[in-house]
Order: sequence, then C-alpha cells, then structure tokens
Amino acid sequence: MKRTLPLLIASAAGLVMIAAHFFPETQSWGDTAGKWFKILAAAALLLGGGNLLKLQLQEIAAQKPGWGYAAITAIAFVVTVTVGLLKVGVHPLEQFPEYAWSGDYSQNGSALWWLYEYVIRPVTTTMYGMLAFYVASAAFRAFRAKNLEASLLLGTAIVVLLGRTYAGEWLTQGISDDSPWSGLRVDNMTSLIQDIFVTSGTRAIKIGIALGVVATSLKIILGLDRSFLGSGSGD
Amino acid sequence: MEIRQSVPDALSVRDIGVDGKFEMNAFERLLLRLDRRWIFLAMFLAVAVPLLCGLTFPEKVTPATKVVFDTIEAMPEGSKVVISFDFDPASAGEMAPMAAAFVRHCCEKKLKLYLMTLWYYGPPIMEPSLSIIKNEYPHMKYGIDYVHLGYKAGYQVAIRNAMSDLKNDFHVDHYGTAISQIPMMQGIDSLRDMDLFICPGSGFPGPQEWVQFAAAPYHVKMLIGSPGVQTPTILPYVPQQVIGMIGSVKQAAEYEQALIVKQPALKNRPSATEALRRMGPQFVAHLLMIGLIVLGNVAYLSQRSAGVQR
Amino acid sequence: MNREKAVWMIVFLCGAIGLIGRAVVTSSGSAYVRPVEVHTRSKTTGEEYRWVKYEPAPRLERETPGVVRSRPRTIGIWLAAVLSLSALSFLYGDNVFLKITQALVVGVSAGYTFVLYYWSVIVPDLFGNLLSDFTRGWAMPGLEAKVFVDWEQRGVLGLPTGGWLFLIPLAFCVLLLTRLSPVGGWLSRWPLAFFIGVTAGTKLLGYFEADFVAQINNAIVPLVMKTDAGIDWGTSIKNMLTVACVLASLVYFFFSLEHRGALGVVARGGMCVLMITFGAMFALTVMTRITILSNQFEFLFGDWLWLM
Repeated sequence: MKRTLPLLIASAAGLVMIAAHFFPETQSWGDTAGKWFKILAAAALLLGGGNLLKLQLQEIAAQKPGWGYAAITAIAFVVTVTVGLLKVGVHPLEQFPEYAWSGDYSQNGSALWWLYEYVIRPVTTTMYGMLAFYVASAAFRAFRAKNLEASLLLGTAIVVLLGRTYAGEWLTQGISDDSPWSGLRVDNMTSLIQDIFVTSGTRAIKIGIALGVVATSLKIILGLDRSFLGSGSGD
Repeated sequence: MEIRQSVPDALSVRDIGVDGKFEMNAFERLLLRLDRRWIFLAMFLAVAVPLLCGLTFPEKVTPATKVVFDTIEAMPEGSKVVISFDFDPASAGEMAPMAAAFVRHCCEKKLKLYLMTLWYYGPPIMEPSLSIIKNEYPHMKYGIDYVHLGYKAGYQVAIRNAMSDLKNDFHVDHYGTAISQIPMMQGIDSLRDMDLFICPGSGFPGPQEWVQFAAAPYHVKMLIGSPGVQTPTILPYVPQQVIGMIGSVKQAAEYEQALIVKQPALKNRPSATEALRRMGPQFVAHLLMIGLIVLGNVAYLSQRSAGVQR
Repeated sequence: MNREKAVWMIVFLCGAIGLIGRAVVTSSGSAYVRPVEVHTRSKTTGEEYRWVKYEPAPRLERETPGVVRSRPRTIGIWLAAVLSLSALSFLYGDNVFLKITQALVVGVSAGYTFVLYYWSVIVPDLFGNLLSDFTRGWAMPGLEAKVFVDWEQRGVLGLPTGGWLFLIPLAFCVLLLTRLSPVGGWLSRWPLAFFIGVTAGTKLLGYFEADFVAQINNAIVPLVMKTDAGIDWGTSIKNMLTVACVLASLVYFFFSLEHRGALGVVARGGMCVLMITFGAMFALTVMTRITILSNQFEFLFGDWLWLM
C-alpha cells in the first residue's frame, strides 16, 4: 500500500501518456491526465509557498542569527499573497463590471503588478547580469591555454567573440565574400564553427541525454526505479 | 626547504621556495596582484560607456537570419501564427527585442496572431508586444486579428495538451472571455490548425520543448528565438525540425535591420532598435573579454617560460 | 570607524545628495501616466460603472496635456534602482543591503508564484470544473458552464464525463498536503507518483522522437553532393566533416571500451570537437550576460537617471 500503490500509479500514468500518443482511442485519457498534472503542479507550488512561510516563521521563533532576514521574507510573502489574492488595485473586466473580482490579477497598475515591475524584475535582471562580471574575472584568472584542448576552446571562444560583433566583420573586411579565401572572414568562420562543430557536438550530447532520459523514464514506468518513493522512513 | 605562503590572488597558485629564483617584472606583478574589482570596473565601463554614447554599428543580415525573415515574409495574409513568449525578465534583454520584431513583422504581413506563454512571468513580459499591436497597428482588432491566450501551466504537458485538444484545455483568454466567444478561435480544435509557430524562449519550458512536443511529432512549421546561451542546443534541430532560428542578440539586431530595410520609419522608433542599441556594448565588452583572456595567458606563458628553480 | 568605511560613507552621501538634487531639478526618475476614464454598463443589470485606468506614457510626452506624474510608479522606479544597486554591491563585497534585497525578492517571488497558480490554475481548472456556477458567479463570469455529471457523454471506461472527474486531482492535492504532517506523510507519495509517472511518460516520447530518432536522421547527410555542374565540393566537405564530428563525439562518450589505439584517436578527435563546442558556448554565454547587463543599465541610466 505504502510503496506498491505509488509504483502502480506511476506506471499507470506513464503508460497512459504513452498509449495516448499511439492509440487515438486513448488520446482523451492523456488529455485528462495532463489536466490533472497541471492542477497537481499548481498545488505543489502552493504547498512550496506555504512551506517557505513555515520555515521563515520557525527561524523567527527560534531567534537564529539572521532571523531579521527571515522576517523580511515572511512579511514580503504575506503582503504579496494578500494583495494578489484580494486583487488589490485590479479593475473588473469591462464586459463584466458587476463582478468586482473578474479582472486580471496582474493588471497593469495593480499592486501585484507593481511588486513584479519594481521588485522582482529589476533584481532578477541585475542578478543574472552580474554574471558578466564574474565571467570576465574568470576569463582573466582561470582560462589558460595549457594543452591542445584548452587552446582549442580558447581559440574558438575568441573567434566567436569577434565574429558575433562588428569587430569580426571589420577585421577581415578586406576579404571579399566571393573570394576563395572568404572562409577566413571571421564572420564566416563563426558560421562554419556553428554549422559544423557546434551542431555536431551538441547533437552527440543530445543523443546521449536522450538515451539517458529514455532509460530513466522506462525504469520509472516499469517500477525498477523507486528512488522517488524516498528512503522509507515514516512508513 | 622553507616554503613561503602562496601569492594571494595569484594567477597560478604555487608555493615559491625561498631559494627560488623566480623573478617577476612590474607587469607580471601587476597582473598577479590585480584585484578582481578592477576587472569588474572595466566591464562596467565597457557596457555603460557605449550605452551612454549611443554607439551602434551597421548590421549585415546573415543567411541564417534571412531564412527566418523570408519564412514570415512568405506567409499569406490571414495565416494563423502562434507566438509563445517563454522567457522571464532576466532574459528579456535578449529576448524582448526578438519577440517585438516577430510581432511587428507578423502585424506588417497582416497575419492572425495567437499569443500565449508557458512561463508564469510571461503575461507581464507580453505587455510591450501587446502595446506594439495596440499603438502601431490600431487597425488590428482584438478577437479578430489577435488574441491573448495568457499563461498556460503544465510545462511540456501544456504543449502536449494544446497540440492535442485546445478547446477543452484553454477555457478563457487572458482577459476572462470564453474561448467560444472569440471569433478567431472558431474552428480551432488544436494548435495543429496553426500555420506557423514562433517560439522566442529561454530555459524550461522553451524552444526545446516546443520542438519535442510540437515540431517533431506533428511536423509543424516552426521558427525559434533563443538567447545566445541556448543557441547551441537548438542548432541540431535546424533546418529539419525548425525552419530557422534567431540565436542571440546579434541575430536579433540583424532581424531588426531587415525590418528597417522593409520599413525605414522603424529606424527612429526606440522600441524597434533595442537589439541594435545593445550591440554597441557587445562590441566593447567582447574586446575586453578577448583582452583579458590574452593578458591572462601572456602572464601565464611568461611565468611558465621563466620557470621555478628549486 | 576606519578610514575606508568613512571614505565610502562620504562617497555614498555625496552620491545620494547628487541624485536627490538631480531628481528635484530635472524630475529624473519620474514616471508618467495618462488617465483614461472607463465608462461601461452591465449587460445583466444595466447598471453603469465608471473608473479611471492609468496607461503608461513615455517621458518625452510629459509636457503633453493629459499626462500626469504617477507617484506610485515614481516610487517604484526609485525602489527598483535602489534594489538594483544593492544587488550590484555584491561585486564589492557581501553587505546587509544585499541580504535585505535577497530576502525581499525571495518573499515577493514566492508570493507572486503562489498568486499566479491560484488564479491561473486552481480557480479556472479545479474550481471551474468542480463548482462551475459558483466560480462563474464571483471570479470568472466568462467561463463556460460545466455540468458536474454529464450522463450523455461517456469517456474513460464508459464512465460519464463532467466536472466530477476533477474530484481525483482534488483528492491528490489534499494528499499532497500530508507531506507537511509528521504522521501520514507517506500518503503524499501517491500524487507525487502520478506526477512523476506523467512526466516520465511524456519525456520518454519527446526525447526519443526529437532528440534521438530525429537527430540520427538529421546526422545522415549525403557525403558527396552532386549538382548539374558536377560535385559541390564545399557542401560535400562540410557534410563529411559534420558526419565525422558527430561520430567522433559519440565515440568519446562510449566508455564501455577503453579509449586506446584507433578508438582512442577517434575519441580524442571527439574531445576536440566538444572543446570547440564549449568554446563557442562560452562566447555565446558571454554575449547573453552582457546583453542582460546592458538591459539593466538602460533602466538605470534611462528610466532612473534620464542620462539616455
């Protein structure tokens, strides 16, 4: 019951999705399973949000060092959820004005929109953009042409870095596109690197990953992989 | 042999013996001891100064971009096009210009647009493209020429369901109107009824999932927009599963240039030249990166050739 | 207070005074909107409703009649700028402003996701199917009416269709909540198993078709391309190289045999192909990061400081 039934559920769900692909009569089974999947994914995320709040409150209660930050997180979460669920600042739909809750929860000008636009968006953009600085630092401190493979990596990186800007075009502008040496133009070299080597390399990686995913999925559907059931404690 | 402590922030961390005859010149000493915050400052200036100076470069449309442009150009008026905005604010710097260019081109060609997203930050991300339609193409009517289907949860399962049975999965559009009440949704049973798929996306779910669950099994016509970091993973699908791809801001700039050639008035519109504007910092920052790689290797090679004698 | 801290404090103070002074003199960092009055009538009750919505206006139009300064959006721009600078301060070193920013963003992001999934999935897909009339009555009047049990339409195993089918995902959602409970947490394995089973089934098909069969198909290209004018050597050499590179890369990942002799040479070639691939990936990653950074700088220099 505790371990066999989940295995059967996983197998049945997987087989339904596969059968829906091959047998038109079972297509609606796959569609229904997909709709249930969506609802379950949403519930899992709602659960995750609740769990986050629980952990922050535990930190605050325990007065651990840095509990002030947990308080900020908890307050921010509660405020966001409140303004979002109550649709603060959201106007109703123009075709249904008598339904006060009919408007879009992320309507431009609403409280939730404000939080997204002026808190989430700038900080996530800045944090991702900061990687440019660290990449530059890593390029200076760690990228060494120690052997053939490293030299190939660095040489390709330099060619593509040049070829993806006007610098590449400008450097080799003396070579005409019609000339037999046009392959030495930096922009053409970049295209050749992408079309031949990058495509081939990532194709091989994709084939390998696909085999791995297929093997793992089959193991789950056939009940051979039980890692998702957990360690078994609390049974 | 007594060992001195490792040189801090060294380019190559080695213990140098007291009896070692390793001698550095001033240049090598500077490179070895360079605080990384100076590199950060250099990168900041490399990006900020070209932006403030408005440095831009002419872009030549490459064959890869031309394939994408020609595909949309060849679509007959009234063709049904799905555009799925699958990126978040972090990648909007690269993806938003692509998405805007796609929307503009489709509006120019008077195609019917079905806009949707699989990312939860997608609806606000779509606002600039919707503004383009409302402000620059006021003749396009909502529900007749374009529809905003909103966010669809479920990752790759959402794509699978939409390709299989759209009507029972998409109940309302983003604004709460029943799908059955929208004129351009009449007769649409699934996304297989669409003539073209355009997927500017990054991460998961994104272009790869659209290929796996739409292009490969159903052989639909698909164009992809992807950030530079994801471009190599989409290349193997081109041109069999995916007709063409706009990969990275460089190709986005080329696409904007192609649109400007077609419609010169766009040159003076800031929202139509975002990618072109961002190529200025790319130029300087890339040269900085190359300079840093070369400098680092120069210091390394000179260290190696000098050697350490024990 | 040591000298370095004192110097930084003076720098920040001067910077803050400069920014505030610039904002006062030039109104930099302000956001402008155009109020639009909405006047509509209910189709069911005939009652009239009016409200004002605010559409964003570009700052170049700030002198245009009808365009006003928006206080909430202006405060938002300044907050966004301060948070961005706090995040960027990590480049200098860890500090309390960064930690506050991180804590704030974690809370707001989690809350946003919570709200989104509630309104986008739980309300239309779960409540909308189980309690169709109730949901249409307060939150989604545009939703089509759904029957709880449709005896006329038969579905899986001949059972009637209708909203009642969504009692199963509702039960799964309740079982998922047992994960938080110290007793009975094993019940949450059932919905998780369903989740994993659907994912496994879907991914198996997707990866097998697009990333295995299709990629092998894509890799098989003619090694000698003939045209009316003879052999197209350019395309032929390109195709030969492509096939060779794919095979070499695949051999590199084959670890069942030791990479020695001829196999070792081919595997080494495959490694070289992969190194070229990673070099290009690095360059493209740099491109992406710089673009993201320049996007954020456009906000700071453009929308906030009005320098561009």
